[in-house]
Amino acid sequence: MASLLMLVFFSITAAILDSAFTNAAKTSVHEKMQLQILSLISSAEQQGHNLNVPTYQSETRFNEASSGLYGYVLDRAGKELWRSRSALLISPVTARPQLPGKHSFGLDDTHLGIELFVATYGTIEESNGKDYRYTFVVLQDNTSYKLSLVSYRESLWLWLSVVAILLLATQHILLSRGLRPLHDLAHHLKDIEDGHSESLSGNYPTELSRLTGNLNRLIDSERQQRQRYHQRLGDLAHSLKTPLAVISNAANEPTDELRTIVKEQSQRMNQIVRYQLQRAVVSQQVTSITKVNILEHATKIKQALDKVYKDKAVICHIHIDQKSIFQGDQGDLLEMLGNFMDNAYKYGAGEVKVSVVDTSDTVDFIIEDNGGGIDESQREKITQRGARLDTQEHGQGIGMAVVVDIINGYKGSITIDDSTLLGAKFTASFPKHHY
Amino acid sequence: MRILIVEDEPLLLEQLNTSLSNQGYAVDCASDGEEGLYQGSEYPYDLAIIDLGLPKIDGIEVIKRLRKLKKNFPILILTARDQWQEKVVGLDSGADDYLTKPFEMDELLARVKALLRRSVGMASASQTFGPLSLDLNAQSIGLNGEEVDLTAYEYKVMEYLLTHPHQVISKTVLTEHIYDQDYDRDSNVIEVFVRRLRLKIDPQGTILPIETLRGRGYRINPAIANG
Repeated sequence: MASLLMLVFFSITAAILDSAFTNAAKTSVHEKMQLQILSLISSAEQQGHNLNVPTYQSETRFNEASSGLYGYVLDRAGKELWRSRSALLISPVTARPQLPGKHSFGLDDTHLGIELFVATYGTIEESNGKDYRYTFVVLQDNTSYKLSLVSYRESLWLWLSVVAILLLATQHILLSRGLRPLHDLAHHLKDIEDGHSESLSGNYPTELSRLTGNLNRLIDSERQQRQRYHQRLGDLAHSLKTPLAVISNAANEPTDELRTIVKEQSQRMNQIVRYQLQRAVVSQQVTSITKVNILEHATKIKQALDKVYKDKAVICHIHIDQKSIFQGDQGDLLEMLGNFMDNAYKYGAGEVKVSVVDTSDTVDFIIEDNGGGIDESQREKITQRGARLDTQEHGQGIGMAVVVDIINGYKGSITIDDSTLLGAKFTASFPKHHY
Repeated sequence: MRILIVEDEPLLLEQLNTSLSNQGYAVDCASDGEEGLYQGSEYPYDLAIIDLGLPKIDGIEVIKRLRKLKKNFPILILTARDQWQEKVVGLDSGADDYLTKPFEMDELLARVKALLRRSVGMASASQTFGPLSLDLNAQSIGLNGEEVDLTAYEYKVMEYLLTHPHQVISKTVLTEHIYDQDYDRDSNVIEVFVRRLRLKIDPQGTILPIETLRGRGYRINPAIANG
């Protein structure tokens, strides 16, 4: 595109320069012919009724036959009175008499094989109180003019071409140098696609480093996601094997025991599937960050739980500022608050407190209840990450495991303390700037 | 008590139907949202169990429309999804409780009983009405602490009357809440049940537990209803 524009630009420039040179050359020819007319006029002398023009002129080309410069004098009627020795064979066919002081300049192409410039000038001579009007005519062969034009055009195009080629070459070098990082990027991406490389390596200019950084993060997150899926699938398959083994070994047990075993193991399998499903859905690494109003969602969960635990008549205090915002996925917030608050409704003795402390660095969710609390020896186990369900002790809910996963996904932290309500106090702290 | 189940999985629907019928509930079944919505809006149910993933009209929409039609019976949601987002949406649309699939039938029955009890304003599963007592879990009527020997239908009539004290219940309403829609209705049957209940609970005619209001229906004796 840029090259095309440059070609157009050079063509227009050439046309303008050509036209300017042609005009200048014509003017120069005209001026020279004017001077030749003036020299003819100055050599001519009025004697009585007759104009006397010397046969031999100081400009030698007037004297040589077919020299390319021809002089004539016409009377007021256009009748030829004199012609130079050079003009034996050529007549001023297109020249017309001029009024005194007037001049003209033009081209005469009526002669076979040659083109002639025609310059005329009207004069007036006085003799014995009588005016005599004459028109001096000079014809000049335009071959030399044409030759100079041709040579000018040749050199014009030559130099313009040289400049254009230089510019195009420079442009090509600059562009290919400037775009090389993009070519490299495409090349590296292809490498990643083909499995030869894992991330975009190499040095990229500052303008591109943001893009490559983001691409690397995206690639990395995709890869981690894939690995997680593999891991989850492996976890799922392996953790299902134990209950399956128990069931298949129980085939020979008496009916009642078989029934108990099938029931227990299917419950266990259900727990495993639910846990892995939850973990697959929860965004383990924050991918979509939106601003979610915390109070609005906490209120929704409170309303839902008030219905479910209607019999228990739980009093739930919510201390959340209307402006408090959770930067992350709405589903994650609902899942975390839902599990926290559900536990508090379930294990508390009818009083629950949900607060959010919004500082400049973190958003802290504090969920308290007035239940039995959590034994100190259990606290670490609950907040540990990634403990597989089949290795967990019986009765440990999957809700908390999912909550811990979510909090870790946001690089947050979770602590368990005693609440002033006398039950458990969970604090989930989310950094504001690090995810 | 009459219950509507809306569930598109035939095997689960059948299991639910059997379990609830065995518990003495009158059960109607629907296998898609459209049918469920029609039945829910046409018949007087005491509770509905609605699956969220239904053909034609999804469960949330069915619940919303039923609530819009001023159907206030408790609704229990069944859902295969275990996320809070799903639960909040379901409960927000007008349901009263949820159960995640797969579930234990005992758990479902407990939830159903709790919802029914709550809907008639009983704080616990058993309540006394003067000399009478009602135990929803044991499905029994007691007289001065002694269990009265009743048939399933006699119990159902007495349960409905006791859970709606201070209300006059017509024979039609009683029939509708005790039998499912396939039953060939004959209101004389109700008269027979009431007569037998009077004989079994109050053979001497001293406490007069059930009043007959001519042309209107039956009512628990206000003296007993007030405890």
